[in-house]
This record gives sequence, C-alpha cells and structure tokens, in this order.
Amino acid sequence: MSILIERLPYVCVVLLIVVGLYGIVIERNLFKKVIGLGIFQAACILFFIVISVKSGSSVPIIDPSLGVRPELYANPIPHGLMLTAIVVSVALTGVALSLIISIYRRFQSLDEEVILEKSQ
Amino acid sequence: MMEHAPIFILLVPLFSIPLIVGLGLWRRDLAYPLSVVSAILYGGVVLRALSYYWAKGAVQYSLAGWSAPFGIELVLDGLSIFMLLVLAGIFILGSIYAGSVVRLELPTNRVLFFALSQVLLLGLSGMVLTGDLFNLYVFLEISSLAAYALVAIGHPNAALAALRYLLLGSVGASFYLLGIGFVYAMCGSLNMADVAVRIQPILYSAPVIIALLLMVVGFMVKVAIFPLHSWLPDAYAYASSGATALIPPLMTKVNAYVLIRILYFVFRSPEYGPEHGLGYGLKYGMAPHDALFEFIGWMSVLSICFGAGMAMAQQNTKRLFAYSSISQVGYIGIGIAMQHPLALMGALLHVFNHAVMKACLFMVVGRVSVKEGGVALNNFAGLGKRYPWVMGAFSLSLLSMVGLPPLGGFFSKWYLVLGAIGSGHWVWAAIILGSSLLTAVYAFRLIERIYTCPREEQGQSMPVSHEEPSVPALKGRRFFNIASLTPIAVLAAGVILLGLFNVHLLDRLIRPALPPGFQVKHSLSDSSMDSLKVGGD
Amino acid sequence: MLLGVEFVFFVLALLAAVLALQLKDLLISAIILAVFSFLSALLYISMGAVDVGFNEAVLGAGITGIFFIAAIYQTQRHALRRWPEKKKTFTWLSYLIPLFLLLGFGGILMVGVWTIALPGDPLAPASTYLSPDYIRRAYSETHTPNVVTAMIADFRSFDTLGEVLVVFTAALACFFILGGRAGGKLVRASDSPIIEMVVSLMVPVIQIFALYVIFHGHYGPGGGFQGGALLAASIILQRIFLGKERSERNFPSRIALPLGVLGIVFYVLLGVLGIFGGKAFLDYAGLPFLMDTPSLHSMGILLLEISVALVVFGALVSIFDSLASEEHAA
Repeated sequence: MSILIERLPYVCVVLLIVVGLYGIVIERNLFKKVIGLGIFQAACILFFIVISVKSGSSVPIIDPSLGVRPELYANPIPHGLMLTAIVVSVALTGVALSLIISIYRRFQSLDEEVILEKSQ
Repeated sequence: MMEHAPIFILLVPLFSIPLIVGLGLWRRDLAYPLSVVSAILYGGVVLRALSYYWAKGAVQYSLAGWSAPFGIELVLDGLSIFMLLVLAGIFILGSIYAGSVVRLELPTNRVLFFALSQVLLLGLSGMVLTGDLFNLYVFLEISSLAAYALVAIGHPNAALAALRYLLLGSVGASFYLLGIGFVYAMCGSLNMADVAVRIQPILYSAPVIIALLLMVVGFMVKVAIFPLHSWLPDAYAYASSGATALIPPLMTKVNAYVLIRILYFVFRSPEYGPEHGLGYGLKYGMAPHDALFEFIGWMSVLSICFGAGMAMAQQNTKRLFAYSSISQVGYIGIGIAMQHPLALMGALLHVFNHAVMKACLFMVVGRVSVKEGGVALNNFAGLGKRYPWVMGAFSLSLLSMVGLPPLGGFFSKWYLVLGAIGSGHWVWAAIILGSSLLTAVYAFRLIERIYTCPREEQGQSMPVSHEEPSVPALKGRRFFNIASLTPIAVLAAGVILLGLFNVHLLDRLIRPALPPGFQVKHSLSDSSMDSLKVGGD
Repeated sequence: MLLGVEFVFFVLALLAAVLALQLKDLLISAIILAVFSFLSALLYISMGAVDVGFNEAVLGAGITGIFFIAAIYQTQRHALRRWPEKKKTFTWLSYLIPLFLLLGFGGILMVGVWTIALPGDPLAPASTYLSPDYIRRAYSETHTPNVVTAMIADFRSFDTLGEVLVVFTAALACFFILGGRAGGKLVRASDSPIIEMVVSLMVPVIQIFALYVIFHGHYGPGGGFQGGALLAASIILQRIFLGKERSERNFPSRIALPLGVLGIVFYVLLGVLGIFGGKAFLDYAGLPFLMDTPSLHSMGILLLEISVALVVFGALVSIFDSLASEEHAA
C-alpha cells in the first residue's frame, strides 16, 4: 500500500490519460472529444512535472542567499518544455473549436453519428 | 558562410510566412508569386547545402550558441539532406501548381492558403533538421496544424475530416510526447545523439521499451499505418486540390523519416556495426526490439493489402488515391521493419518515388476536379483522347506505382524484396510481389477508363458524377493551363528519371543516408547475391 | 513527498475531468474543464512548477475556457442523448473494444511508471544529468535568476520560436476556417452599467499587470507567454462585456494578426542579428550592444520575451475574433 502512496502521482497521471482518451474515442459529441483531448494533454504535462519534482526542493528561481546547489531547486527542464506544451494544447484547442463551428454551420449538429449519416 | 546552412534552410520560410501574410493582406495577388519565389529560393538553399554536405560532411549547428546537449542543435546529415531534397522538389512544383487551383477553389482565402503552405514547409523542414527530441515535437505540431487547416476547406465535408484528422493526429503526437517523457526520465537528455549514447545500457529496460512503443505508435498514427489510418481517406478525399498537391506526397513521408530516426539512430541496437555483420538469411537478435520491428512489419503488410483492396472498390478518384497512399506507405513501413540495409534503401527510394508519383496523380486529379466538378471515375472517361500528354503522364505514374520497369516504382520494390530475402522475411517478400497485382487492378481500371468510353458515345448508360462538387464546374477554362501543366510534366519526367538513374540516386544520396555501420558491402552495380550480405564498408 | 493538499487536488482534478465529460450541458462542461485546468495549475504550483502553473492558469483555465464558451455560443448548448435512438446490433461491442484497448494501454503505462524513479528522487537520471548544469549556469551566463526563463529564452530559444509559430499558425488556421471579425451575440454590450464600469476599470489594471509580468519574467514567474496571454485576455474581456463597437475602437480586429506577424518578425530578426554578429542564430553574444556577455544575454532574453508577448497577444485575440465571428456569405 505504501508503494501505491509513493507512486500515487504517477497513478493519477495514468488515470487522467485514460479518462482523456476515453473522451476522445468513445464520446460522440464533438465538444466532448475536444474536452477529452484537453484532459489527455493536461495529463501528459502533469507527467513531466511529476518527473521534475525533487524532495525538499523549491521553485527553480535562484535565490542568491542560497546559492546554486542543484538539489535546492526543482528540475527546470521539464518546466520549460511544458510551457511549450501548454501553448501547443491551447493552439490545438482553438483550431479544433473553429472546426466544430464550421461543421455545425454546415450540418446543424454536434453529434458525430448524426453528422456522418448526413454526410453520406 | 554555409556553415549556417541548416538555419538558412529554415530562414526562407521563416521570412516568407510573415511576408506573405503582411503583403497579402495588402494585395491579395502577391501571395502566389511570393510563395513560388520562396519555394524556389528554398530549393536553391537546399541544393547549396547539398554541395556543402558533399564537400565537408555532416553539419551540426548549435543554436543560440549553446552546444548540445545543453542547447538545441540542427543536424544536416545524409538522411536529412535527402528528405530536404524531396521536400524542396515537391514544394516547388506544388506551389506552382497550387496557383492554378487555389484561385478557383478558395477565392477569398488565397493568402492564407499560401501562408499555411509555407508553414507546412517550415514545420516539415524543422522536423527533418532538428537533432532534439522535443524540438521535433514542436515542429511536428507546426506542420500538423498547418495540415489540419489546409485540409479543412474544400469539399463541404472537409471540416469534419479535418477535425478527425486533428483529434487522431494530436493523440499520436501526444503519445510521442509521453515517450519523450519516459526517455527523459530514464536518461536525462533530450538531444538525439546524446540519448543514443546514454540509452545503450538501459536499452532493454521496461520504461525504455514503453517509451519506444509510445513513440512508434504515435508516429504510426501520423504515417497512417493500419489500423491507425482512419483519418486519411476522408482527409485526402475532401481536401481542396491545392492541399492535395502538397500534403499527400509529403506528410506521411516526413513522419516515416522520423520513424527511421527513432528506430535506427536514437534507439539503435548495439549490433548495427561492422563487427556484427550479418550474413545471408540471418536475422538480428535484439529481443524486445525485434518484436517491435516485426509488429511494424505486419501492420505495414496489413496496410499494403487493406489500402490496395479498398482502393479497388472506390468510385471517387481522390478517395481511391487516398487508399492507394495507405497502401504505398505500407511499403515504406515494411522497408523500415526489416532491419536490413537494402530494405531501408528501398524504403527511402520509395519515399522519393511515391512523393513524385502521388504528387503527379493528385495534381491531375485536382485539375479534373476543378474543371469537372467531381472526381468520380466517370469524370475521367475519355480524357485520354482529349489530353493525351497529360493522361500519358498520369498513366505513367500509375504504372510506376504498380512497379513496372524501368520506372522508378519498380526499383524501390526491387530493393525491398532483396532486403526481405536478405533478412529472411520470405513471406513479406512474397507479399510485396503479390500486392503489385492488387495495385495493378485499380491502376489499370483507371487507365482503362481514361482511354476508353469517349464522352460523346455515353448517352444515358454512364452518367457523369456531379454529386460531390468541390467547386462549380467552370466551363470555358482550359483544362490544364501552364501552371498545372509544368509541374505535372516535370513530375512525370521525374518518374522516368528516377527509374533510369536509380543506381546513381542510391549511391550518391541514399547510401549516405543510412545509419552508421548499417551499410551494404558491395557497390550496388554488383548484382550478385554478395550484395545481400551486410556489414561495414 | 505527497502532501495532503496535493492529494486533494489530484482527486478533485480527476473528478472534474470525469464530470466534464459526462454532463449534457456543454456550457457547464466547459466551465468544469476550466476548473480542471485551474486544479492542474494548483498541482503544478504545489510541485514547484510556478511558471508552468501560471501559464496553465492563464492559458488553460482562462483562454481555453473562453474559447470553449465562444464556440458553444456559436453552436448549441446541449448535447444529445448518449445512446442512439435506434439500437443497432452490437452497439455494446463497439464500445467494448475501445474500452478494452484503453484499459490495456493504461496497464502498459502503469508498468512504465512503476519502473521509473520515484517522484521526488534526487538521484533520478533526470535530476542528475544536464539539469544541474542549467541551475548552476543560468545566473552566471545570463544574469537571470528565473532558470526556466533563461532556459526557454536563451538556452532552448529555438523551441520557443517553434512554439510561437504554433500559436501563430493556429491563428492563421482559425482565420482561414472562419474569417476574422467578431460579431454576434457573444460580443454584444452588456446591459448592466455595473458590469460595464467594473470591466472598464479592470481592463487597464490587467494590462498593466500583464506588462509587469512580461518584464519581470527574469526575476519571478512570468514572461512573454503569460503576459501576452493576459493582454489578450484583457481585450477579450472588453469584447465580451463592453461590446463589439466600443472594443473595436480600442483594438480593431484587423490589427490582431498583423501584430502577431510583427512579433514573429522581431523574433527572427533577433536571431538573425546573432548571425550578423558572427555567431549562431539566436546567439545573443552577437548582439550589437556594448555590454558584457551575461548582460547581453539578459537583454536578448528581454527582447525575446517582448516579441513572444506580441505574437501571443495578437494570435490569441485573433483566434477569439475568429471564433466569435459571424458567418460570412460562403
């Protein structure tokens, strides 16, 4: 049980990934699919952040009084990468939403099955 | 000066994107010429970089002055310069061609189309040049976003196709990102060359295998290997003709390039080396990774057969070529999966061949679509008599896809089969040969339709399809004007030249592209069975 | 390593994610998604990733949330019933196979996370190779205490170029798909004078804070992305509550995309200056200012953050304007 507690952040990440993928694959409503994508990508970002944690460390902003000993600061590399990943996620969401609006204007529906039928 | 070559290549689209957007918002008509000039300039820089590479060898360019692994570096080696040449060639021709259809299909959106196509070029070039795993992800998303947007306009169903492409493609890219996460957690570096060294001791550990699996599956989505191909048929069938001249020839190829990078350069087996030269008929013994390669191979086999099978049943030409693309990309996948230098060479040769063939095919189809209002098979009836040269080029590309010598398509299959025999994959060799028959079915069906049933004799029995108009048919315009004729002609010539000069191409461009230590013993003009033995030179 | 409060955030985030996918009312779903983003931001901050948390809060919870709301306003608010009206045979099978695959995939990931280093392990490969170098060298090479800023704006500035291009491409894409001028019911002026007054007071405060965030990114959490997004948020706030006409006078739709273009041009020129100075692309040591090298880097980082802010500002406003635009005659 203590092993589970130790790795609990990872377990939560995996659960969120599964929830997000479930949304994309199984939900029929187009908005729900995009929400699922957002959850999935947020979970991937969370994974990187969990990797970057160091016990007993602080934020990666150098405090001159403490010096530059690396064990004092959290790992900054995943932080930087995830800044990029968040922006990518927002960009994708924006484009996906425009596509949904465009689809709705043509088909008057947000349900994948209905639209597929109408487009035959 | 040319030691800055890698960044110069990227600077061309980096400047042309704001230029096209800025000047295009002022004067719409400037977008097309700017786009063509930019593509030609890009081609020029790539050629200059090629001569620099031939003179000085591979170039590693550290960006922002920080050398890898501290900073990000761009790498211009044999494989990337090869892919850049393919990109440059198709892009120049595609940009010239796009002018002839975009004005008709997207009258209000021209500027953005050309800007987005330059973004696509930038994204794909960045993917090819970068030497950093995460940087690859960023450029992957750049090119993908541009592709999603370009696919979104065209047929009325295009937006849904684009959304499905977006959802599935983003899942694939995120899988790759997760894979980067595992790799980083295991070895602390993001630079491809650095990871290749640091991952060696832990190559068979669970997280690394999972990371590799995630990355491979992610890119299998992007390469559209069965069963992760479902975004492709709709996306290619409903996209505008300008988009189909650029995306189908290039997107899946560059993503296949990434698969090669990941499998052969980053997660390379310690056994790819001259001291572990493999003999005729032996397979590699890399336990878990072997299984992964076999998996890719069998999925590619399914792609080949499924794609060709579905293509046979299609009535809509664009959709037919979409499924055909799935099938042809399967050949590239199977070449990657065999772990044999000849097969890899065949795969790379097929990258070039297929890009040229598909570009030519989609260009012709695009022009027919714009002129006829639809691309059902019947829209092609009798065109062979009216436009003999263009349809000749069309048929030539189709025959090359089937694999008829001396056209280019034959040689890529030839090397794939040699590689299959050399690595002991007899079943795969048989499938590669047999699937040519499947390809022949749909290719010849199309060829027959072109050259028979002239339109005047049809009457009521064969209605011409107008049910899927992408743009109202425009009477009175020439079917093929200069802007569309020139690229088609060049590509058709390319199909022939790639076949005739394939040995030169292989020796000068493709062999340097192979991973280090993964070479063929003898020169390729030696056609004895000795050439199947592998090992260092 | 897992404090009590993080555990609560995890559970709440999981609940929010599941809830957002289950609700029939799409507007509430979108708001719950924003709640999920905000909880994620809290998680990041509690794990020490303050820059990332700030970014997620502004971009994830704020901007994505308003994008969703704009899109829902343009379409419809309620989703259909989940199960199809006519039950096709084997409907349950088509749900079972993906579910099975999902659980299998989750299992594989579990194996993966079970075998990597524990969270918080200071001896993990990720914490002992390369990243200590970043921490040690950030201040001495760039005079920037915020190591993350030094990293994204200097050491790995090429990644940031890519990122800026991603958001700009998204703006181009949305403009391509939908057109660009905001109109319609979302951007009608509010009837309430209270809202009008509060918003018109809030907007300049947000903008000044945004400028502070951009310029202060060296020393604290913040930087070009967060600041640019805050600027965009202020304009979007104007559009929604003060109405299209008044907001257009302040910030016309047609300058959003050109502003993004300007930012990209600045970024690329900054890089090219490095080449002209005899160094590599984006190498600040080649900048033509008379300073010592770390100060050159610090100045370069500042210029880069400003161009990033410009691009993000222009692109996000442009995306909102596209999402809120009325249907033009196709």
